[in-house]
Parts: sequence; C-alpha cells; structure tokens
Amino acid sequence: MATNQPDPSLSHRVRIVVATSIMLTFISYWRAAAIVLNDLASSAFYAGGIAEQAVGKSAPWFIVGVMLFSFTVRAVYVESCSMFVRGGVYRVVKEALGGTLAKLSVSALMFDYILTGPISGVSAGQYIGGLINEVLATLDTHGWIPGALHDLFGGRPHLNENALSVAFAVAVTGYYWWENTKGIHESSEKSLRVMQITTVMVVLLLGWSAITLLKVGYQPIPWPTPQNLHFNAASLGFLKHSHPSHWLGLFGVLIAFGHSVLAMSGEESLAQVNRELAHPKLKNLKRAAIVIAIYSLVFTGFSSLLSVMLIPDSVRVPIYKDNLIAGLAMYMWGPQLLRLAFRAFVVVVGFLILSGAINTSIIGSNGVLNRVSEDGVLADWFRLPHRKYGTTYRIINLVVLLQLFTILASRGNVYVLGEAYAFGVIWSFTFNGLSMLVLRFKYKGERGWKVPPNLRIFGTEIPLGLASVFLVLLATAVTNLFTKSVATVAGVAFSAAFFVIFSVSERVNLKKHALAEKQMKEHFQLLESDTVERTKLGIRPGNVLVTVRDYNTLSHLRWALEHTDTREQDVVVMSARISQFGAAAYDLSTEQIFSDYEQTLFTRAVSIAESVGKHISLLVVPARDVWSAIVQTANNLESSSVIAGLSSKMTSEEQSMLLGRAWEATAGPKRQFVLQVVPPDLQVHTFKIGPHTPAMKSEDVLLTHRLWLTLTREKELHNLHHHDILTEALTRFARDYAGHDRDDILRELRTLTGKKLRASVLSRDGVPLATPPPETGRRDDDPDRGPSGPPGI
Amino acid sequence: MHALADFGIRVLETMFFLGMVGSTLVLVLTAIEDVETLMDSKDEASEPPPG
Repeated sequence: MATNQPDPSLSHRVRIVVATSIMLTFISYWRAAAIVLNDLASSAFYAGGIAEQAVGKSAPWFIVGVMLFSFTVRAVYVESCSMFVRGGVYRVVKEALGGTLAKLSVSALMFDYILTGPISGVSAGQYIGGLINEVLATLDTHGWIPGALHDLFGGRPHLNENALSVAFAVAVTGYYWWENTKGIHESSEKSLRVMQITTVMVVLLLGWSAITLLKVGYQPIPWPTPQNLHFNAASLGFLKHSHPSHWLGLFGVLIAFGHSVLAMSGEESLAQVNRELAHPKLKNLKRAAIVIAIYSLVFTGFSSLLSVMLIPDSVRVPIYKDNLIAGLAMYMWGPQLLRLAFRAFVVVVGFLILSGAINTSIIGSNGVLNRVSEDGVLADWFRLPHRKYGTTYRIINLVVLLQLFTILASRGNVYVLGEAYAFGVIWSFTFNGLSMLVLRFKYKGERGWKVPPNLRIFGTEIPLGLASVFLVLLATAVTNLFTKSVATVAGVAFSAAFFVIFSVSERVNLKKHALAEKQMKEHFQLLESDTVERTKLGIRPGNVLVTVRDYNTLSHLRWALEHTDTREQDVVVMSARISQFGAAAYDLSTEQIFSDYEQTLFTRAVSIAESVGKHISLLVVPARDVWSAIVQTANNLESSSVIAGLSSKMTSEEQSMLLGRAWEATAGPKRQFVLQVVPPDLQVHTFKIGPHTPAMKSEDVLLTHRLWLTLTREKELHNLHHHDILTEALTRFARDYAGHDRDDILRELRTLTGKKLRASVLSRDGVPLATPPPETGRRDDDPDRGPSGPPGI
Repeated sequence: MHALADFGIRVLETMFFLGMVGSTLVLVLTAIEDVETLMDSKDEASEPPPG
C-alpha cells in the first residue's frame, strides 16, 4: 500500500487522492462461468455448420477436437490470470513482448470482438428466418395459406433468409448501440438467467436426441482422417491451386482443425471476469474454467455430432447449414407439431444468447478501445463523454459503424463471417500463448499456477505443456493465413488499420500529454493509494461525500457546499471512473485514472468551492459499478451523507433504490448514511440508506400508545413496553406476508403509499419483492415524517 | 518454390503433431487436477448451479 508523500514545496496545489484499485462487486464462479458462456456457447449455433461446409461430413470430430483443445487454452488463461489479476491479451503481451506487439495483439482482438456482433446477429436472423419459412411451409401443406399470398410470392410464401438476417442483425445492433450510448448496466444476473434457459434447451436436446437415436438409428460420421476430408475452393483459400498431395496428409487435418477453431471463441472473456471473482480467486477461476470447458464440450461438441448423426445428408448442408440446431430439432423422433414447438424454443434461446453476444461485442470493443485510449494509444477525442449520458459514445459509434458495415458487406452469409471471425480468435490466442511462454523465462514474480507438465533440466524449467499449446496455436494460425483468404485479407487489413491508428495516435498523444501533464502538475497533486481510506484524505468521520460526473451539471456540489458547515464536516468530492467489461483485464495507472476529463471536472469543482469559500477534498476511484463504488467509498470514509445530482436516466427514487441494493450487496460491516438527490430546481429528495429507525407518523405513535394503555390492563401484561407491541405487530406482519396474505398486503401497501413505480422497478429487474429490506433506500422527504438528513445539511 | 512450400508444410505438420501430443498430456494432467478441484468442496460458493 503505497502513498506518495506530498512535497512541501508544492503544498499550494490541490491534493487529489487517486485510488488505483477498482471497486468491484464480487461474483461467484457460477456467475462468472455464465458471463463467459454467453459468449462462448453462442458459437454452438453456427460453428458446426461452418465447419461442415469447409471440411465435409467429418467436421463434428474436429469441433469436438477443438473443444477438447480449448481445455488447454483455458489452462493458459488460468496461468496468466494467476500472475496478473487482469491477465488479458493486452496486459500479458505488453508485459512479455512490449507495446508494439501488444498493439498488434489488441488489433487482432478488436477484429474478434467486432466480428462477434455481426456473426451472432446474422446467425440469429438465419434461425428466425428458417423458423418462419418452416411455419409457412407447414401452413401451406395444410392449405391454410390464402391464395393471395401465393400470388404475391409467385408460389409458396418464402422469405429470403439472408436478407432477413441482415435486417435483423442491423436492427439488434442498432438497439444495442442505443442502449450502450445510454449506458445500460450489465448484470451477471441476466447472464445467469440466459444460461439457465440455454441449459434447459441443451438437456432437452440431448435427451430427445438419445431417444431418437434409439428409435430411428443414426448416420455414421466419417472418421477425421485425411481421405475423409472434402475441401472446396473456398476452404482451401490461397492453396486452391496447390497439388492435393499437400493437403491429403496431416496438413489436411491441420487445415480442418483451423476451420473449426471459431468454436472456442470467447475464452478471452475468462480473463476479463477474473477480476470480479470472489475469494478464493484462483480456485474459483479454475472452477469457472472447468464449468465453461465441460459445458462447451457438451453443447457445441455434442450438438455438432448429433446434427450429422440425425439430419439426413440431403438437407443438412443445403437447408440447415446456417441453423443446424434448428434442423436437429426438426429431425427428432415424435409428432411434427412438437418438433416445430421445440424448434421455436431453440430459436428463442438462440435469439437470447446471440443477441447477448452482440451486446457483449459492443461492450467488449468499447472496453478495449477505452483502455488503449487511456494508455495514450488512441486520441482523447474518442473518449469524450456523451453530453447527456456520460458514455464514450464516439467509440461506441465507431464500433457499431464497423459492425454495420460488416453485416451489410456479408449479405447475411454466415460462412464468410465465420471464416473471418476465426482470424481474430486464433491470433489473439497465439499472441497470448507466445507471451505466456516468454514470461516463463522473463517474469520472476508470483505465479499461482502453471500449465503442466514442466520438466526441470540442470536447474532450468522447461514448460513442455505451455510450449505444446503454443505450437498448436501457431501452426493453426499460420495455416489459416493460407486457407482462409477472406479472413486473411480482411483481418490483416483491419488489424493493420487499427495498428496504424494506434501508433499515430500514440505519437500525437505523447506530445499532447506532456503539455497536459505539466499543466496538471501545476494545479493538482496526485496522491496514489491502493485503497480509499479516511486517514489518507485527512478527513473526519461524518463527512459529506458529493458524487460528480459531468462538469456541466455541478449545481448539487454548490448546494452541498452552501448547506454544509465545513468547520464541522468535511466535504469530499468523488468521481468514479467506470471501467467496463473488457477493460477490467488491464491495469490502471494514476495517469490513466486521472485523465484530461477528470482534470476539467475537478478544475470546475475547485472553482465552485473557491466561489463558495469552502475547502473540498478530491477523490477519484476506478469502479465497475458506480453504485457499489459510492457505497464502498462512503463506508470507508465513514460518511454520514452522500449528495448526488439527479440522473438524466432515472428518477431520484430509482437512484436511491440502486444505491440501496448496492448497500445490501456490500459485505459488512456497513454504515448507514443519508442520500440526498439534488435536481437542478434544488428541490432536494432525501433517502436513508441501510436499516434505520423509521420516522413514525404522529398518528402511528398515538395508536401504539393507545394499544399499550389497553394491553397493560390485561392480566400479566403490566410490564409491557411500547416496543413489545411493535415487535409483535411486525412478527405477525412478516408471518402473514410469507403466508397466504402476501397479495392483500401488497395491494394495501400500494394503496397506502401510492408507490407503484417502486414495485414495478423491482418486478422488472427480476428481484423478488421480499429481498430488499423495507427501509433500504426509503424516500424520506415527507414533511410529516420529521427532520431528516445529516447535521449541517 | 515447390520445395519451399513442401518444407513449410512439413514444419507446420511437425509443430502441430508435437503440439498435439503435448496438449494431450496437458489435457490429461489438468483433468486430474480438475477432478481434485471439483471434489474439494471447501470454500464452495453457496449459490446453486444454473438450471
């Protein structure tokens, strides 16, 4: 824990404590696995079809092989995460091979992330289009399609699946563009729910397939030998004019393996969720990795095998190549209506998981570009926050524009997208593998776990396992360069373009940052600290914490200063620097956390404090979730109140509800505090956060007293206290609420309070109404309820 | 040119073959560790598995 001591000669400058550890809400390994699987398992919907088009009917064996190999790639990621808490590609490559190759690896990773969106969107569109056409065909078979529709389509009604896929992918990408621009909050709860629904589908799929195999039998899958491989011109790429003897040996197997690697895309997400894993971190990381690897093997591997075993050759590739699991549903044993219903379920699950992957790709790309931008390799212009929502909308716009271009250029062709996608996947893994190998000799720091086996010869450790995984990755990546011509051209062009942008930006920024750093040092003195502690800021308990984000809306800070006697209470101005999913993989330096934006923000905050004539302390904390960061900071600083401006996206009640939830989720011991939301009209809303004595209405106090008077006249109750009556009443209330009277109680409470909004917010988010304690985040600005708020405010 | 291509292919095949043999070892050894990790219920999260 290092705190730089202030230089007395620079004491005129404003001190800012910059916390360097991100404030996180820790998650279980099940949730971590669910987040990764939302990305990784989505490839099950398209990987099998793409691989079979490229290599022929024996493709499922290669998919299974890739899924087994993914166990070893996962081991490499576990080792990197045991060395660096944020052990993603950029961090590891930069540590091992330097900034230039780190930029190159991030360019490949960006290609992977950006392609994830289009391939997921187009694939989901193919599943939907396929289902609509199947339903239309079924209706037509029964003569339920009107003749006018026949005339309109010139025969049986049929939608162009590729066009529909493009339209669908554009629409969903547009939707998530807007959601990300607004700054949606990603929850692991949603990922867990999606994976629960997916698991139901996988269990049904495997169970029903087993019954079908017993009842109907199966088609054998040719063994993955060179003579069973059937490449076409597209799958041989630049080698299409070469002699067949080249690709009929082991090289043929390597080509086929290369065409199947996209099945393990998403492993990088494991490094990104590692930071948020609960204690014991390494053990939970291993558990999450095991769950991910087994789930992917069962879902992606087995569904590919079953597709070839159960779907007839005549229709599998011609009709179901882009929606293989839907095809599998249609060739189960049982009545057609049931099969169609199951196919609809497959499409719903595909829609959920693939749409989620589009969102993940935007969030991940935004996170990675934010981080490289903060590292000075992308111009600050990209990170300028949205005027209303505070998000890095320019990066989001850039990512989405690239994705929309890719979707339109693909014309709904999943195969082309899949081929290109594999480029980013394999090269980011290869860079990671090489870096980990180099770090075995270069990095002497703590390492929680090593990929086995490791031989020791004359005192030197030879990382046999790590070297083996790297050899496979490198051989596959190099082979793919020759066999995937579209991917090579697109991937190299894309990565080179990003690399040039990064390099030029870095040069420009170096000059600019040198000047900015000089100016900053003249005005601010940055004190680095691992954690937020009251003593480090030199403030007293019971202080006022003011949260700031947008330098255009600081009226609440002025209000807080005008209403606080700073001789009695210190005022701490806090800015939470949000590190999004994808960014958590990388370390934050002080300069990264305290950027140009924070400099402008705090300059304005200091200007307001000077105009009011009061002293403020400044604090920057990196965080994954702003609400959790506020609660943890208020707790660490022993703040009596938190003052925030009114959000542009939610009401003050919703703000207090989210803060209350974060308070509940924070591990104890915890302190209660008051939240005051100050809107522009300065009509302050006050809420108490955490359990506290409720402010009782005078009629309730009177009723309690009357009851006490009556009850103390009863036999053996002369010692009864007022609080005994409340205890009995609340115990009965809790019992009734847990029993049959729940609905009645809720109805009466809604009528009583008129706060239907709160109930709808809770229901919408899927949180049981019984979970939040009734007093958490309660609005307390009713004049009948007596004084509220901390002293001095 | 043809000889160079042949040489390159042989190199890639050798890398792939050796890598696959080693990766199989990694797979077996990590699987043994995985079983131990899964059997060790100490510090197990209280949250139920999905599904």
